Amino acid sequence: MTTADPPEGEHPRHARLRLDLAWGALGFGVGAPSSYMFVRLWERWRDGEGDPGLVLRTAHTGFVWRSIIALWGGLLVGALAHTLSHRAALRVGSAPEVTSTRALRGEHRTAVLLALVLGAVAALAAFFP
Amino acid sequence: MNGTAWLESMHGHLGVLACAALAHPAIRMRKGAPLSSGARWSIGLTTLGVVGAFATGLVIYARYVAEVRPFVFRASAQAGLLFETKEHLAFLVVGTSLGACACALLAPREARSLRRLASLLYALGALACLGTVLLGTHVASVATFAR
Ligand code: HEM
Repeated sequence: MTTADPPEGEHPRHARLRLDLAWGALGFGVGAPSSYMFVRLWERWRDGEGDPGLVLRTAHTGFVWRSIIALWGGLLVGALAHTLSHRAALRVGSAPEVTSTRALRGEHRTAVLLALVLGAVAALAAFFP
Repeated sequence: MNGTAWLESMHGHLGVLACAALAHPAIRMRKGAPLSSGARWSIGLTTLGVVGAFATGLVIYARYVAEVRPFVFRASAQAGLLFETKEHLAFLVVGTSLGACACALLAPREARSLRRLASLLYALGALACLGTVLLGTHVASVATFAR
């Protein structure tokens, strides 16, 4: 490489695409466990308190189905996060340096929200058998 | 030692390994710096460990339900219920790790904030994994495949 060469870097469109996908992945990471807990809470509401006799009679497929539904919920939240990130890019332009800072301006709020949602999910997971 | 007991042992070891491995990206990415190729490998391998632990758990689960669970409940209903809690935490672990891994690997160089958020997910995953390991070990100490 000579000094006249342009600095190496990713094409802005690729960086943009990756940014949207990364937001989608983050959405999945929060959405899948949250969906799992919603399914679990719904089951508790339907079946009542955690009764050992009832738990003993449940088949192993219950967990598998719950996980599949939660993965599906996670994908939906991920798709939503991807779309929101994409829309933010359309609003503020496509240069990745700009969009990654501007689109993430509310990152602290997002981080707090993320911590709250997952904290609640973890607490529910810890207390509901 | 029968096949399932061996697999359970593998599952337990993978789980402990995954727990330690998850703490690594949580700490390394907390400042959001771009990932080196070594860090990318380490994130990939961590996720593989978590998925491995989850998958081996699923493989032994049917036999646990049929052969071990009644003994666990007979010895201690509380331990039996704690296994259910372990399941929930295990899903939290695998969900957060998959999301954080994809997020960290996909985030462009300048998106430091996204990597910081991914590290937060990893930290939660590591904590949940610690809980899963402790509960798994406790339940296995009450009754297990190698009776
Ligand atoms: C990444 C998540 C997971 C981690 C870290 C984990 C960890 C552990 C650990 C450390 C043990 C104790 C092993 C021993 O002392 O021999 C254990 C036992 C066990 N785990 Fe997991 N596990 C996870 C996910 C799962 C899943 C998803 C299932 C199935 C639904 C599962 C099913 C079991 C079973 C059946 C046992 C044996 C319990 C007994 O022998 O009484 N695990 N797990």
